[in-house]
Amino acid sequence: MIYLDNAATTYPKPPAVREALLSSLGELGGNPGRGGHRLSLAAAEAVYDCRCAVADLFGLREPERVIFTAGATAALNLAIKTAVRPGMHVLLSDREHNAVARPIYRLADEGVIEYDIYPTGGDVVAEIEARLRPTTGLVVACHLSNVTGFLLPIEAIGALCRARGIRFVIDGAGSAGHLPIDLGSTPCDAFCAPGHKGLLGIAGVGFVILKNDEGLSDYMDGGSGHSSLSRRMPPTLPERYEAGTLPTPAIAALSAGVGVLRRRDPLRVAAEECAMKARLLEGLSALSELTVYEPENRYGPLLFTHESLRPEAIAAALDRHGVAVRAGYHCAPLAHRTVGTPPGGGVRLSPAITNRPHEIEDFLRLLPSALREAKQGTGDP
Amino acid sequence: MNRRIVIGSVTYAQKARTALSRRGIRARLTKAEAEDTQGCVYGIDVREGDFPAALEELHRLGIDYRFPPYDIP
Repeated sequence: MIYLDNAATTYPKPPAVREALLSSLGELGGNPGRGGHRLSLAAAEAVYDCRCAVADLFGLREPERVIFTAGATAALNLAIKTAVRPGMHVLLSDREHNAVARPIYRLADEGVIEYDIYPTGGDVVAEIEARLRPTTGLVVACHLSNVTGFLLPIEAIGALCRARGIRFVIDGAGSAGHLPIDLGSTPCDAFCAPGHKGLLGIAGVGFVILKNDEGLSDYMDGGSGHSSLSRRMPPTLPERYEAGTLPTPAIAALSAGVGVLRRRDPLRVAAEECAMKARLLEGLSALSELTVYEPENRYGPLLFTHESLRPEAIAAALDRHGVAVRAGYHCAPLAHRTVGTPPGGGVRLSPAITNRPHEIEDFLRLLPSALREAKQGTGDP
Repeated sequence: MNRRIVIGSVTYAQKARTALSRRGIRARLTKAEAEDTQGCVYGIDVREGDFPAALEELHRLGIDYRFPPYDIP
């Protein structure tokens, strides 16, 4: 299998991640932050270790600001829904994933907020500034597009938001683990990411880093492990937003994944992935029937379409050759509309450090055959 | 003899424990006895001799603490 669908979830997981996951089932069996027995305390220590590792990876010194969630989608829902107020105006980019767009659409459909979509083709900060209203209270930006790897200027957007007193939420699902990110110096209020993509953990955990929690509303209610006699969730982070039992095995796996990245050096990871993307781009450019979208984006996924073949037909043909890619709209119809893909979306290739360079070469060798077969309609129905 | 310092959340108790450890003060994470006003809480146990320095460090970090109604043998 040549796995080029790492933007969906990274695969295979590094051995250290698999080992951490398996050993957690035996050694971290208690409920973290609930009991006082050794299994519960051991689980709590594993959770705290992960908070510290994540905070450190993103340049923060306050591990309590790392709030674990069920994933990046849950993190974004939390970051958005605790920030909005009735009558608020919200801005989102024309690159957003449905994890950002749908919560905002729903809030707008219910009459809670109004929103505008800012274009990213030119001066993004000027486009945001032109759409600001006195009621604008939240700006959301995906850091790196999950469709083409387009990078939004989060530092500049954050500076504008800070100057105007507007809350700024970053969707880091595409960038976390793929690019070095220093949230200590990035003006933002919340950064959301999944554990199972660039950070090499498994599905089941993500997080929002709440650099600023001032003025946020409560979210989900439930057990918090302390202050049990209170009718409300405790006011302190992270427990305020962590109702219910945390997924210790997924958190242990995330810790191990972050450990792999830190040992490998985030700068080197970005450089390796950038080199793989460049090689893919070079190979695809030799095939005149393909269109590559925004080839100038150095990081993240690569998106292409064929002059006559549907994306799903290409993905199916590649699957028969043992290659995993993702066709369609990638849960980001806004981004597809922005780059102008035809009906059916495109084929996305997303290499990661879990790939080896020879796999990229093997893929480029297989691709012409897969395209020929797709044209002939060969393969089992 | 140990002295128990009640923190509240397990995360802040761990943060306190880690900060004290950096200052060379050994502290052990523990679940503390429930209080009437709070319910379940977490805290840390430190040696009697380290107690003043531990409180000083918690003050410096701005970590709120309380005391249980008894000392830990």
